Amino acid sequence: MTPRQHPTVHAQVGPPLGENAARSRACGRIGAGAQQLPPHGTGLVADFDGCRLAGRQLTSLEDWRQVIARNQLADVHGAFCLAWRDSGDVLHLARDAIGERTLFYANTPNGFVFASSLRALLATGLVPRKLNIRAVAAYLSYAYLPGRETLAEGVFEVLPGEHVSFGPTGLRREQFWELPTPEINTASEDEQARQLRRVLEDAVRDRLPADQPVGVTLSGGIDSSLVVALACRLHQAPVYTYSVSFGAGYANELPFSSLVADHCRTNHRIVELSPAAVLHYIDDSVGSLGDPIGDPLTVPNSLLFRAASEQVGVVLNGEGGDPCFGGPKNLPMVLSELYTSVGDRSREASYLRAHLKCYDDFPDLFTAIGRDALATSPLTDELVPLLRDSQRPDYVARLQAINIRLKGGHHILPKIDALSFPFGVLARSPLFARSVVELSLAIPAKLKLHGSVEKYLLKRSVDDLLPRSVLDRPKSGMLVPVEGWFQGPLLKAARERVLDGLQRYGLFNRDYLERLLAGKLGGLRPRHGAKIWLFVTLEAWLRRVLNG
Amino acid sequence: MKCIRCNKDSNYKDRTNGTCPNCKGAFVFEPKNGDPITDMLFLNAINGVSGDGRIRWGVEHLYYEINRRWKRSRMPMGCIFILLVATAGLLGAAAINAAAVPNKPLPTTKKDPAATKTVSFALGGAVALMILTVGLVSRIPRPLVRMDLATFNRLWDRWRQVNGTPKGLIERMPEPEMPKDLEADIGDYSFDRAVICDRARTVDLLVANNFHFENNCAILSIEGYPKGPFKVIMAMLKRNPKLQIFVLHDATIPGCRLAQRLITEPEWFGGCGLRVIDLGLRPRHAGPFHGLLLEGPSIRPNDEIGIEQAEAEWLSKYKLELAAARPEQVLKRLFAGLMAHAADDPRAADSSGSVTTCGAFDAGGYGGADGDGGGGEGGADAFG
Repeated sequence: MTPRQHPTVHAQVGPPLGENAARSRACGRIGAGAQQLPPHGTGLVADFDGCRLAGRQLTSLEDWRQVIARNQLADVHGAFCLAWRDSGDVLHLARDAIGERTLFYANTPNGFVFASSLRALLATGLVPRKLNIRAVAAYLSYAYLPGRETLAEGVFEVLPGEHVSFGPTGLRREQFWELPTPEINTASEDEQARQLRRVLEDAVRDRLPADQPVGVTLSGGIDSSLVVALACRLHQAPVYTYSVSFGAGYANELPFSSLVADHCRTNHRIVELSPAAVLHYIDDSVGSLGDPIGDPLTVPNSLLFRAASEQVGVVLNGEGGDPCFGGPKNLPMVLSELYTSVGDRSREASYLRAHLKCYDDFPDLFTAIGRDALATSPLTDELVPLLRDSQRPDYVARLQAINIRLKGGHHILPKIDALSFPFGVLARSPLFARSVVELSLAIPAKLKLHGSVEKYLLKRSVDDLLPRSVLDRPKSGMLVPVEGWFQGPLLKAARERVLDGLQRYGLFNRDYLERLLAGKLGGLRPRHGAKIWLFVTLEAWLRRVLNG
Repeated sequence: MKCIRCNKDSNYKDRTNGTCPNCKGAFVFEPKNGDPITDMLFLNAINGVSGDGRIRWGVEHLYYEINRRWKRSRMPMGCIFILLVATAGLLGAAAINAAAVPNKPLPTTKKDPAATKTVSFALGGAVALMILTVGLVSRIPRPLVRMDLATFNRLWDRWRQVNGTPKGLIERMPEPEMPKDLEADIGDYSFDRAVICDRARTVDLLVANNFHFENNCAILSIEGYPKGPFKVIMAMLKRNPKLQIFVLHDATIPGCRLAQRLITEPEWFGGCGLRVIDLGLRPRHAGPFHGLLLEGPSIRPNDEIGIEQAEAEWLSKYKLELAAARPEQVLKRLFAGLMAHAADDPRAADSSGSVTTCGAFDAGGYGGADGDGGGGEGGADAFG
C-alpha cells in the first residue's frame, strides 16, 4: 500500500506555549498562586477528569463530597487530586491511584501550603527556594524524581494513591490504594487475550469525548497504534492523529505512523520540529513541569498538544504499554540477575543503570558537595524494598510494579498532564487505566515477555486491528535526535546553559561538563546527547521554576 | 626519567634510593639497573587499556599493551633511516676520494696523506654507522611477542607492591555459582542474541563492562562458563527460534572452528537451523598485531572444518589472542558487529545452520557503527 501524503505542520517559533491557547480546561489547577482553601464547611477543591465510581461518572464537587464522606476514594477510577478541610480543621490531600494528576505540599513555619504544581507552590513565597542536592542525583539517574522528594528542599509530592492529612496532631500519610497483588490468571492464552481486549476497549471507550472529535498522539509503535485502532473502531466522531518529525536528515518513525494512520483512516497530521523550535520552546515546556523531567520528548509532546488543541479537546495516547505489558528494561534486568556472580553488581544499581543516564558518572560528575549528599543516603536504599518485594514472587512482575509506580506515577503521567494543561486539552492514557493496570498485574509474566518477544499478550490481543509490520516491527523507542542536535545546531546554546547556568550551584565538576559537551566522555556508549539534554532541562527548570 | 606522581624529570644520580628527588615518591622500575621499562610506560599502558579509567580490563590486556608500547619505544625507525643515509653518504665520499688518489700528479711511491686520511675516515665512519644500524635493526620487532609472560608477571607484581591494584582491573573470581535467591520466573524468558567466546576471560571482560546488560545479550564460553547459570541461560537461549548468535575468539585453530562447533553440536545449536556470525579474530585480522603474536602449534590442521586453506598455514605458525586488542576496541567492534546484523534474519536456509563472517573486526571497519553517534573515540587504528 502506498502511504497517503499527510499534511505537515512546521512548528514555528512563536508566542510562549499556552499563550493564546485555543482552549481551557473545565477543571483548573489547585492552588494557582496563593489560592486559599474555601472557608470551613465548603472547603474542597478538586482537579479531576474522567472519574467513575462503580460505573457512575463523578462530575461535580458535590459528587466528591459524597465520595469523601463515604470513604470511597479507593474505589474511584480516573484522574484526580483533591484538597479538603474537615470539621476538625484537619487538611487533607489525595491523589489518584495511578498518578494522573499531581499535588505538592510543604509544611512551613508560615503554614501548610499545597498546589497542583511546584511552580504555583513556590509562587506563594512561603517556601524557601532551596535546592535539594540528593534529589539532583536522583534526577540525574532516573531523568525524573521517583518518589516523595522534589528538587525543592522541604517540598514533597503526594504519592499516587496516597492520602496526606495535616492537623493539630501533625502530618500523617497513608495509602488509600496500593498496586494489588492478584492471583495469577490461569486461563488459556486465548482467553486472556480476549479478556485483555475487552478491558482495553472499555478503557478507550470510557475516555472518548461524547459526540466530539478525538485526537491521538501516534508514534507508530504498538502502544499508540492500538489506541488509534481502538478509537477508530469505537468512536463515532472523527479521529485525528498527530505524529512528530524532526526534519530532513534526522531519523523518524513516520513510515510506521503513516502506515497506521492510513490503515485506520484517521485525519493525520505531522508536526515538524526544527532544532530552532526545540530551543525556543524548551524553557516553556520545562517550566510547566512539576519536577524536571529530562526526557527529550517534552518539547515534542508540548508542540503536539498545541497542534491538537486547534482541532480537539481530548487527546489519547499509548503511554503505559511498556510498564504494564513487559516493555524494554526487563530483559536486561533479568540478564543482570543471571550474571550477578560474574559482574558483582547489585540489583538496585542495575535498576538505576537501566535508565541509561548519569548514574555511573557520579564519581566524575559531582563535586564533593554532591558526593557528600549521597554518601549518607545512597539512591539504591529506597529501591531495596521494591526490588525484593516478596509479595510478588515473579521478578518481572516485581519490575512491572516498580515501573508503574515510579515511572508511571512520577514521569510519564505527570509529564503528559503538565504539558497538555497549558493548551486546555485533556490528555488521557487508556493503557494506564486502573482496570488495565489491575488486569495486567494478573497476567503471567511469561505472557508479557514471551521468550524474547516483549508485550506478547498485548500484541496478541489486538492482532486483528493492526498491520503485521507494526505488530512485528523491531524494538525501537521514540527516536529523538539529541546526538545530532548537540553535535551541531544546539551545541552553542547547550554550552551556554550548562556551563554558565549550572556553575553557580557548585555541584558539578566543570571538567566533566566540558568533556560531556565536547563528546569526549569515553566508555563504550557514553550517550552524550541524552545526558546533555538532562542538564539542559535541569538548568531550564532551575531558572524557570526554582528561581523563577 | 619522569616521576608518575609529580611529572618531575630526574637524572639517575638524583634518584637516591629509587625515589623522586622532588616528591620523594618511590620508582618501581629503574632502567639503569636493567629494568626493561619505566614507570611512565607502565602507567601509560594502564591508562591505555582502561580507556583512562572508563573501561574494565584484565591483566592479559596489560601484558599486550606493555608489549605494544615496549616495541614502539624500541623501534627507532627514523634513526635507522638517518643512519642509513649517513652511511651511504660516507661510503660515497670514501669512493670519490679513493677514485681521486691515483690521478694525482704526484710520485706514485708517495701516497697523498690527506686523501688517504679522508678515505680512511669515511670508511671508518661508515663501518661504525653500519654497526649501529645493524644494532637498531635488530630491535625492530619480530611478529612474535617480545616480552615473555614471566618477565611481565615480575614487573606487574612489583608495580602492585608499590602502587596498589589499578582501577578497573577485573579480578578473576572462583568459578561463579548460580546466583542465590533467584526468582522462579527468571528462566522463563529469552534474549535477542548470544555471544559465545572461546575463553572465560572474554566473558568476564564483556560482563564487567556491562555489555550483556546494554545489548540484551547472553554471553557464554564454549567451555561452559559461567558454570552456575550456564544451563539456565542455554535453556533460555533455546527458547528463541530467532536467536542471533555471534562468536568472538582468538585466532587459533580451536578459535576459528568455534562457529562450526556451535552449528553442529547438539548441546549448542546443532540442528536448530540458525546462522552463526563469526566476528573474529582470524588470521586476516593479524595485520595490526605485528609483534604481539604467539608461537603456533607448528602443525597444520589436518582438516579444513571451519578453517580456510589460506588460514591453515598461518595458524600453524602463529596464534593471536583477542586480549592483544584493547578492551575498548573489542567492546566497540563487537557492538558494531551486533548492529550491522541487527536486522538480519538469523535463520539459516536449512536445519544444518550456517556460518557468516563479519567485518567488524577488520582494520578500518569500525567507522560509523557506534549507535551513540557521539562516541568519536576509536578510529581506524583500532588496535594500536
